[in-house]
Amino acid sequence: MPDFELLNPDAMPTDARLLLRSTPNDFPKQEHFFVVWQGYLVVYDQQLHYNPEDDVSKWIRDQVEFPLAIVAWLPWALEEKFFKAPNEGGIPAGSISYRDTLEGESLLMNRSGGVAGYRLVNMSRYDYISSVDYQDIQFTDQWLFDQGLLDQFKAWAEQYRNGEL
Amino acid sequence: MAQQAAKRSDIIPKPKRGRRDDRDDDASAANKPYREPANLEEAVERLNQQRAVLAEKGLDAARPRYSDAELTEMAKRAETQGLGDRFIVRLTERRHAGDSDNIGPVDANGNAKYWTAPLKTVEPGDTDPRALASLLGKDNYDPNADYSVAIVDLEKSNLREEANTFVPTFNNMADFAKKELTDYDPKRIDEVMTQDYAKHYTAPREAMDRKGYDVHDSRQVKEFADAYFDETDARERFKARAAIESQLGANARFMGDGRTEYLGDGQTAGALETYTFDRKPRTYENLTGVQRLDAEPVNGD
Repeated sequence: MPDFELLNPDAMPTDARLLLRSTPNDFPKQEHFFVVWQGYLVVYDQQLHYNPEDDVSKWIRDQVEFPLAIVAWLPWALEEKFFKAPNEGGIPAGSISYRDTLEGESLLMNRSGGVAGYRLVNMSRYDYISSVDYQDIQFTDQWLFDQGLLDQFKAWAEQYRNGEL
Repeated sequence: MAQQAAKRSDIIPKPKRGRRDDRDDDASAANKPYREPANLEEAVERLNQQRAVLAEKGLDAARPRYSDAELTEMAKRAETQGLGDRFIVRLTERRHAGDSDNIGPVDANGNAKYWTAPLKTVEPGDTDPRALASLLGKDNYDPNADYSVAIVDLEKSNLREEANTFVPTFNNMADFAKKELTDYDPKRIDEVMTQDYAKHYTAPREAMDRKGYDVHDSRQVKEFADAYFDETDARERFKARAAIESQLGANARFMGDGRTEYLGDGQTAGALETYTFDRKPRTYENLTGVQRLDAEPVNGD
């Protein structure tokens, strides 16, 4: 299980490969960089936050890291666990979250009710902003379904299975 | 209409539960004990009957069926026994109400907002959006907005298995959060799902807004909490509470009571409140066991 450091999008490591830059419409200030790095999908994000009360601007930078198989796991979990009824193999009645282990890393995905979407947490890795929290990323419905991110994951999953990612 | 409904000469003194002496609207659901409909058709018919009462007697006949104490008792019972209700009424405010529209919260821009309650507690409101808004504590009824009402039969609906519907008391919300948001310390969740912590949440939550941080953005929550709180316990409690707001929708106004605020006179609670958390985006097209109804204000008042 490799340890990573926060990426710098202006000076990417030579062995890192940028797959996609994308900004969710629900969070228009967040720019995400989807990167393949050392057999992992690393998603770095940055945003310039302006605090009007104190008249201060500050860059907020964060990152999540998952084994590369996450590109296949995410569409699978959505379609098999969240979209299907319990008797079809979906998560139990009344539940809105799913726990799984992927290559030894502990994942949690839950349906989000604030800005509708899904939150994916890697409970085996600590966050860069607050070292007591786990790494998490918010995939909103709009980002996944309207902006095409889920289709992008499916395309990556196909490449991953063919050993092309 | 309130004056008309209050004509004392028509009153036959028949003391009933929930009945007030100065009303002449015995036919109102507010005065009748609840009988569970056998199916959705009967539930719709029940609302049609109530609509006729409202048309004749005015919105005053849409007062709560149950007293404050009765609603409190129901909310308590729902903590130990769960929600025993088969029929749920959902009032949705939206820009457009086509079949392909989502039935739940859609996005941060407020494309769809909704309020739900067991039929037995909102039957007096018929499908009149003004009456329902009053029973459900929705204090910004907008005559220009597009409202729709739906009755959900939880026994027949796919929401029964694919969603979680419960009465949102502090205990119930804490149990749900501990089960679903397992990356948060359950001890913290218990600490923040209390009336006492609700008071402590307001000040930092408002500071967050003033400083331009979005509670739905976990990075911004962490940045804000790290800078705002010196004490670890207070910081971790705040983050757990903010997660319950952003992930489960219980905002700073959530009072964990399980009852809605009644906007009319005479009592404080209007109905029992229910929350439904679905596991996927859902439109009316792929929802079963639901009957959608026109939500037009009753004429003639």
